[in-house]
Amino acid sequence: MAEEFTIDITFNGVTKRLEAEAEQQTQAVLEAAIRLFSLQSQPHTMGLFTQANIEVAGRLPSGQDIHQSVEQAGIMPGQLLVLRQVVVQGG
Amino acid sequence: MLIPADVWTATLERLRSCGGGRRECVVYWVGSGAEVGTIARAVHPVHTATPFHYRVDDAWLTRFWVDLATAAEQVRVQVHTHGGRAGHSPTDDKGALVYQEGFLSLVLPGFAMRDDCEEQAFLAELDSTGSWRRVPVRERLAWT
Repeated sequence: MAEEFTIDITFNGVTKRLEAEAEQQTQAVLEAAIRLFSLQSQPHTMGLFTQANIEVAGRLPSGQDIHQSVEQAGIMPGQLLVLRQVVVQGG
Repeated sequence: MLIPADVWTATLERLRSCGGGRRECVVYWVGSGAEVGTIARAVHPVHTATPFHYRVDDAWLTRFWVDLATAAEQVRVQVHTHGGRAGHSPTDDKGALVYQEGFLSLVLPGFAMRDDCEEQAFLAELDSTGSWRRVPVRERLAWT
């Protein structure tokens, strides 16, 4: 049986709770988080980061998506993850 | 949305001192999550910049998001400068801080060096389809 738990996702000052599973791909968590906040962003432009700014879901500079499970990413129950644009720029 | 005079003054000071009339710069207007539509302060992010581009520091962004969560504050408007005329470039469209319907992006011309730069400003709003559309500045923002 898959191990389920909740994690906290914060976006622009608002924190919401999301269910996750240890075997779940972090990309699926990212997509669920984007839906949770009703964002208009494309999933490939966003990432999930630990408070230490380690990207656990999203797209690497090489263009490759990060492929790992929640467990492999070391995400713990109750952990706070930051949902943000990977690159913020203008010009 | 009301822009307090002290926030506007602080915004211009930051944009001018950082950009020096030669580089783009960016500031975020932040307000309490409990008081919808209010702006309390201007936050100047760590960023790199050229005359034609800026990029916000990745690690700073993550810390900023955590700090906002702790303080229960939200970014209401992103404000940045262009060297020439104000507009919303393709880079601005794709590189904004927030992609939620109704989020505002204010662009000030001439590196915000003129005191009346808001008169020639460009305001973009994210619509329900995820596209930026121009809206009249005075329809959304009021200077106090």
